[in-house]
Amino acid sequence: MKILVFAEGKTEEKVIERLKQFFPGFAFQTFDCKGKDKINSEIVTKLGPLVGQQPVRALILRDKDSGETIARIIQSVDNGLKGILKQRGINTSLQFQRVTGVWNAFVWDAPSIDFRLVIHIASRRSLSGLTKCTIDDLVLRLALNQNVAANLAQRQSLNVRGQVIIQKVTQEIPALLQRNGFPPLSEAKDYVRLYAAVLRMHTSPPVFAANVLASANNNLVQQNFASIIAAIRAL
Amino acid sequence: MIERIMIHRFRGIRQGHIDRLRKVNLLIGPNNSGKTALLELLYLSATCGRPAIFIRDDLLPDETGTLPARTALAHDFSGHPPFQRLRQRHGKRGEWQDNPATLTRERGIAVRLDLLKKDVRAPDVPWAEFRLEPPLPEWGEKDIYAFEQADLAQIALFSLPQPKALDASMIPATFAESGIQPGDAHWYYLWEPDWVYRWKLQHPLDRLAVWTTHGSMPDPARVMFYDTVAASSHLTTSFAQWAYNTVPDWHEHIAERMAEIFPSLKEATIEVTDAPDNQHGRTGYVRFRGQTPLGIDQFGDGARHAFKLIAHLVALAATVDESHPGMMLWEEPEVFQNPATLGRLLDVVVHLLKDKPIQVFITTQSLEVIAHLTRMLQHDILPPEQTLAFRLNLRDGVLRSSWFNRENLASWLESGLDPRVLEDIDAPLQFQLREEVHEDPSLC
Repeated sequence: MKILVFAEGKTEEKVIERLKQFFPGFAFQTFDCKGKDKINSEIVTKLGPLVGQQPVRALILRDKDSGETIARIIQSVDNGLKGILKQRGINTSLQFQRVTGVWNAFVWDAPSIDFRLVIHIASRRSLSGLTKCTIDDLVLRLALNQNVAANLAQRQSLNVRGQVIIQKVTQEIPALLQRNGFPPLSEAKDYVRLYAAVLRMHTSPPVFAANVLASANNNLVQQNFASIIAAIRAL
Repeated sequence: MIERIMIHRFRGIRQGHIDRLRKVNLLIGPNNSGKTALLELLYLSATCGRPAIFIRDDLLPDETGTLPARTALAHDFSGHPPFQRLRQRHGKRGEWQDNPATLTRERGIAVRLDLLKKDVRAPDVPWAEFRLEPPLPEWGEKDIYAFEQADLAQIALFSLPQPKALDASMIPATFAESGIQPGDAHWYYLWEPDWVYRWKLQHPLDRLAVWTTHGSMPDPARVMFYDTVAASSHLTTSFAQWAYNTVPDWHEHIAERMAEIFPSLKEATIEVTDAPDNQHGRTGYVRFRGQTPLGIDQFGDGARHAFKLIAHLVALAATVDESHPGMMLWEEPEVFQNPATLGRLLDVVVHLLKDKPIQVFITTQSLEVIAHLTRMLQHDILPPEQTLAFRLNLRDGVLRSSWFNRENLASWLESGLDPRVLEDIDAPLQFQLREEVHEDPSLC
């Protein structure tokens, strides 16, 4: 069975790449929709020709921006879904249901056309004061684990304890910036870039995510990404 | 323009339908998914243009006992007898000997369905006999519609264009369930057993291939079927003479288009004359100033293929109009073609078809053809509202189709998805190779 993953960016692709080992027998293909606004058009164009022709399993990974609500995100995806079904002449009044035991994942299941779609909405902030909940929050939460930070430092041949890195990234540098009149960091991605700079990784957030995921053991990864794993299981 | 087709037991298709047909239709899908069957069905449907009167004596005096009908033209646009041409495609070189048909006293054809090959497991035929009688000629006119002995080897089907009523014995159960009314469609009945889906015979009508087309039909004399058989044959003399006499500057137009496809032919002129060595038919000769003409068949397969296609298409495009719309059926344009030539060939074909009332069906296995046409859609060279690709799928005899519009095609191709392979949507081979190279650390 192949699971088609629709994501806002490339970081999700790295996350799925790491999580797929927990789903032997499943294949994953992740599409970078280049932002939330294009997710609907991507699911219409990619899934449309498949619907009703073969089993379809799709996962949408959404961030929750400031001002957005879970209900609005679901409504937006529901509109896209209805667009596909209308275009393909399929009538159904099915609704999204919460995935059992997960409060931020919702499943839409149409057994008659063998089509199941799950939305996972990133809903946890990695640090207080951030304005959005994003996939980068989940990555950053993992990176803020002392063992993971130490492993990352070791990968970069830096002789420094994990706690020190975390202290620099989450407290000392942001405080220094603020003392010098810079506005506070507001997104997990800001911290991710800061983290990468401190470790001299010279890399982008998606590659940082891949490094973080490679530096964490399976237990930690499963714990940290439990809601995404549950969302995949619902497919 | 044909908009919809419903099928009951045609070749490998036990049942199925295809909707939303457009002016330009690209048919894709795996082998044995029904692409060629669909082309052949369209060809048989569209060349069904010879007037006749369908009579079932067992139904008379009911109005369904006698209906205006059509059967196959003696020759298609290219000069070939349609049914014989299809038989040849399937390796049947000889004439059809087993047609259970005889000439009637009125020079019609009486078909004895009850003489079709007996199979103890098969149900009886749906009705024993019918006749296709020629319409009476106008006073003083020659009896042009009368059938002859030679027709018995050529005629295997008839059509009923939008009949007012049909007897229930002539309507397949799946059609009845779909709510289709007789007057909604053109109905086709084919009795040659090799063209009828042969398994799971349950009902009398299962002994026939039956299908309907919805929408308007092309002029039967303007239906062009281009496949590898056409590419490797000479032009028929009748077609070449007709085209030369009817199409202004036919040779010059062919030369112009060939030069667009093969830039090395820019200075060449083209003539269509007798095939060499006393062979039947005509062929093209390419002449450069001061040099001996060179037969097109001396060139490589790509040039031969393109020449014969262009010779036909130039003539078709020049002779259609709103009252005489045409149809082009093109099987696998990619055969023999280098990708660059293929791109130019597609450009020329689309240019020739532009604004012409010609409905086009192209089958392909080539991602390059799909990609090239997608690019034409993105640049509005092909009108997006008049173009769809259909991915066909045939399982257990049931034909299904999924359509791709411009946005679907562009999105799939940009993501490295392959519209030809829905079941396992892995990246096409070239993308897979690229990914493997990138993942090989020794190459980084």
